[in-house]
Amino acid sequence: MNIWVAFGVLTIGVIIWFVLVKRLSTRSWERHGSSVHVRHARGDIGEVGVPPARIALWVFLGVITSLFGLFISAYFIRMGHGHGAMHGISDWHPVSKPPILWFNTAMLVLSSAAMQAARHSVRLNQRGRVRGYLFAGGAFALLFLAGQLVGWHQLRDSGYGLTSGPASAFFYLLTGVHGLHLLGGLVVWVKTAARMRTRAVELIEVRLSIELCTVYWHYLLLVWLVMFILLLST
Amino acid sequence: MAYAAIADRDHAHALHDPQSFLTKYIWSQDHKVIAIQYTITAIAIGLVALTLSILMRLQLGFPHSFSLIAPQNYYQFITLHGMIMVIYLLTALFLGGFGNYLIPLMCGARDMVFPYLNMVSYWVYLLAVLILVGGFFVPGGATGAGWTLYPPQAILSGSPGAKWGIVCMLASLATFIVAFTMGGLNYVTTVLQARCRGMTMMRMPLSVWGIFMATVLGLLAFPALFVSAIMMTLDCLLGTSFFMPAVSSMGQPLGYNGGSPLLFQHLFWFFGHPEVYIVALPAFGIVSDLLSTHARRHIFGYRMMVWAILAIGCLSFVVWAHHMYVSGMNPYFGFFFATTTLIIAVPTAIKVYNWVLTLWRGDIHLTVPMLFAIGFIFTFINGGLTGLFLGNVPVDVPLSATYFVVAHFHLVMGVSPILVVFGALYHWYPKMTGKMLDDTLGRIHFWITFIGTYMIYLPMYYLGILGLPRRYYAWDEAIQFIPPSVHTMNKWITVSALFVAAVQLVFLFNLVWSLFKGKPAGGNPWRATTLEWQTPDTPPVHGNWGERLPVVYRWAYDYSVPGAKEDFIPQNVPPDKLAPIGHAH
Repeated sequence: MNIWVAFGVLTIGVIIWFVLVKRLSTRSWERHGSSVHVRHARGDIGEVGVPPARIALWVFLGVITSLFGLFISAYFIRMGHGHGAMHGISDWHPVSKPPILWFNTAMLVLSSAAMQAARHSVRLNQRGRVRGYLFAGGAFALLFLAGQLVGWHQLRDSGYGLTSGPASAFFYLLTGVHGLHLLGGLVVWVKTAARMRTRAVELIEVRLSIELCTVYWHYLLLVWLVMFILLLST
Repeated sequence: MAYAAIADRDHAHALHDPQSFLTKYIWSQDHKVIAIQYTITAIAIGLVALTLSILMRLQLGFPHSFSLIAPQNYYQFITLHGMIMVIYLLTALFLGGFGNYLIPLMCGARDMVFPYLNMVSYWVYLLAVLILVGGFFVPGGATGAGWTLYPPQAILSGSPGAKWGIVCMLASLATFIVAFTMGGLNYVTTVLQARCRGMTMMRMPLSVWGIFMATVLGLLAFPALFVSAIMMTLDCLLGTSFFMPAVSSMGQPLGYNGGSPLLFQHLFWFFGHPEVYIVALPAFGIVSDLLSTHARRHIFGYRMMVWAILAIGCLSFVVWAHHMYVSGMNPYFGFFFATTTLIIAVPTAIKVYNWVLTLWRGDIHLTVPMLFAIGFIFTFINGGLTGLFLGNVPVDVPLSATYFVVAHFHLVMGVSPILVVFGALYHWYPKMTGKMLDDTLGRIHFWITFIGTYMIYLPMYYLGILGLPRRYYAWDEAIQFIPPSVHTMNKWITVSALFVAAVQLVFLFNLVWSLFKGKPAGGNPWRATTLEWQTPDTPPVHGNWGERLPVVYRWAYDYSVPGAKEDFIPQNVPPDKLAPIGHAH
């Protein structure tokens, strides 16, 4: 097994160990410094400690990491670089990447930046700016997804369909799974944006949603960058 | 305003009590109702799988007598039996059923932290079950690819259900994984965030630890199954070649090229091995609590038990290719994975020693739950030791795909965890319903099941050593190396299986009958220390704890504390309320 992979895994393991051990030894019932009044969907549940939704998002990000990590290792194995594959599989033909992918990447970066700005504006209590940045975040994400579909068409038109070979099949698969995850994030974005628009709602109540959306957005940007580099270089 | 932890939100008015029949019993967000929904659904689909296994055994024991079971039916039955039992019964029951019921109660919480998500997870699970069963009714019938669903055969025309059956199966699995992820987020977050005051992680009962670690395993391992399901669906429906090599069927080359069936095996078993620990770890945790309570003795080496659960969980991710020794993979991998497989036997063995040491010099009450717990120890040792045989490559090569493997995994997965399920149901039924299950019927159920499963699986080892291959519809009498005594033995096994299956009806009858006619149980009939037995109402009402959440002062195992007045001290008894000496861990 590749020594670097082993080293990487070990490092991740150690990091997880520290986080987990620290997490496990906390007493979840103890009071913390800041103040957030959270409205539960079914009514007011009063104040909470570290919001459970934040823990749940991080656990969910762990699940998604496992998912994409497995897709990527399948990609390597199919390409012939991973253990377990026979050397000399000669049917891997890198696909020519549609140029729109660069534009899409820029859209996703802008989307993440807008969400981060929204999160920052919440802290500064700038209501108008929050609304603006939030909408921009969603709009850029939608542009990204639209661009991905255009990229699919461009790829198919240049002769690489889903069944044209393993490289193109993986291209559609990886970008498709990533896009679906972004779409799921947009569902939450729609709910948050709707709450901001329709009611005279205190910023403090959407703060958690915006923060968690932003974390999710940054994570999907990271996944996209890793995949993009992978797809470009192979 | 200051942060207040979930544990400090004492006001019961925060939870809006459901009012109508529909919101109380059907679209319920109460973890106890959801747990019972999961349990009933899991047992129902489990009975379907049990029936399939009876049909299989009838074919194997009396091959010429049942013409209604054609060879393709037989393969459909083994596939569905395996998939249902492992995933839709055991995983759903231990995590969705016991996890949902016990985690909030044992941690002193009012409910799971995401009750709506919890409810949705059950209905998505039910959808997954319905899609799975629907596989029998699509053109071509259910898939007959074996529960491992190996390509290329799974989607080639020789296998039953090679078009729609396999798609049904994969869709059902993907749906289940979505349901499981929703539930899993709940279990993990509740354990981390919603423990009551004083309930540190190292004061939690081992049942919660087992379910918690199993959930973490599931959240990280099920994506591997999801990945392989997506890729195989694309291969089947859209003609991609992720797993499909260049292959011809009936003389015609299919369009596939260059895929790797071995890739599927790696992905599947990367999920598949943690999956068996997802089934085993809750069983380990629960049996620790059963033994402790009914032997009136603290669990021996609680800290080691927790570390063993964590170690087994982590190690379970690096042993998967011991299912692939004969797959043609690089033989050096066999060396690596055999080593890790033997290493994982160490924490498992430590747990077994600790269970036995818990019983040593204990005040053992041979109640029905205790019988099942002790039965677990016997059958798990038996099945587990044969795992050491199979974990070694040279021994596995001749035994692979024989009945030796079948006997091994049935004992460690089918018999031992099921004995724990029964023991746990007998143990917690009084809490869930306020009534005791009938004791006599319970003992009949135990002894016939326990002895019967030995009569099924011990001889099966010998069949495997003889070389009797598995996944065969029938063995032609002309096959030289299979003596006639094998066929007699198969008859014996089938008849034993029929008895064991029949006695489960006694259990089902007991479950329903005791609901109406069972002896009233009171709040804590087993005199247990854990929090779920300290609720003000039995069965616990919505919100579990009444006005105030409990506060915990000690670990979950203060049984037979020297100097104490009673032979048990509940976790939530304050130190100043103890007579003579109080122990706080």
